[in-house]
Amino acid sequence: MHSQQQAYMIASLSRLLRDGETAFHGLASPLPMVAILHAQATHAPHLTYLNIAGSVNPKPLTLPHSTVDPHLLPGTGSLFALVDIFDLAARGRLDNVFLSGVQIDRKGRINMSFIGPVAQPKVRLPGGAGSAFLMQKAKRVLLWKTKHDRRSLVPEVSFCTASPACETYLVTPLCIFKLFDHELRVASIHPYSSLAEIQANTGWQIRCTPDCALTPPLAPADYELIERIDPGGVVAIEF
Amino acid sequence: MPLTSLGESHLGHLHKWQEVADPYTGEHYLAIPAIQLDWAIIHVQQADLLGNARIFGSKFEDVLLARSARHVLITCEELLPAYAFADQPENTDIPGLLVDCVVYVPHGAYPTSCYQHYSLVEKEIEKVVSFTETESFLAWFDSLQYPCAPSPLLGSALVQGYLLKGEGGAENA
Repeated sequence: MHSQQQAYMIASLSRLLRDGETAFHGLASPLPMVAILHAQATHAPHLTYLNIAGSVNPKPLTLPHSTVDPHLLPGTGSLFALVDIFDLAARGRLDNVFLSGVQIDRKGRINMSFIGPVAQPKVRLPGGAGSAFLMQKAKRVLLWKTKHDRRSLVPEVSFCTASPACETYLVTPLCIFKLFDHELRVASIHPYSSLAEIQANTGWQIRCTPDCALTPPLAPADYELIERIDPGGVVAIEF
Repeated sequence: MPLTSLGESHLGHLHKWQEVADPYTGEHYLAIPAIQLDWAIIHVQQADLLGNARIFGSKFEDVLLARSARHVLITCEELLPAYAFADQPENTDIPGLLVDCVVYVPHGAYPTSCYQHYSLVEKEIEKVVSFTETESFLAWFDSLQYPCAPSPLLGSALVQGYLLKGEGGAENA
């Protein structure tokens, strides 16, 4: 059974996708994978699902822990490689890209490169892959982070790998932030959390969007649907 | 396609990327230097003795890598005779003319996956990344035992053989 935090993150990411759009996730992205399949199974049957394995609208028989796995190929009628994704984005046809960062800051900038000074970093991170490009060119950026704490959500990243240029959201186990006036503001609070809890775990003075609301509560049927989509609970690897 | 800006990203400054003007529109674009690869090492499902290689499933950047590297080393699950792909050359992803050598290594992608041959083994990957000393890696490597048949093209004594194109070893092996 999926935990409350897992279910709210899946449902929140899913609801941000619109029917008829394109959506892409890269590697190490079980939550986006399940969220896209969830959206296709609910409000967005015509969402085009693209991924780093290169499949287009796959119908995976089992969901892999690794999202760059051949298990994401069954059902695809063509292969659409990562280089094609970049060109699609440059042409303005990539509607949604899922990205994350070891650090994410108040302005929605992500750090996937270095902790500490660049010349002598304390930690050398894996790098941003195409995030610097895709954050400029996708129409909507969906950031997600399973750890909502002050180490991850910082006032200012020590190194900016990529910065947002379009509609940007950040989904965490506690809430949804939306980039509003160049600042990530609380746009939706999960019903089991509170502004006080969000503030205590966020590295900057939080503000809300004008239309900030509670995330719609999930019913037992919503949990059952998530369970059907991800029966093996692969998203647990992210928590 | 080219990009006009990386926004606030520090990557351009870090790598000292320059801008160039489009001679037609005057618009400025980032000019990112090409990565100069000495070698590309690419594991494929099928290769022939001429170095022609077929990739099944996702190709990722492998086809580009083979075209940009100065030298290409192909490792393969299946080694086939020269001209084995001549009936369907359009399915060859990496042309042998770009390939320096082919190494017959069944299970060569283990413990990661090779489409249609084997899946990744998470526990083994965790083990490999946990090694901090060369000795422990080598001990693990030596302990691997694969139920792989020797390639008839390389003779029965060789389970893992290699051939260098142009050394006359290929067709004679």
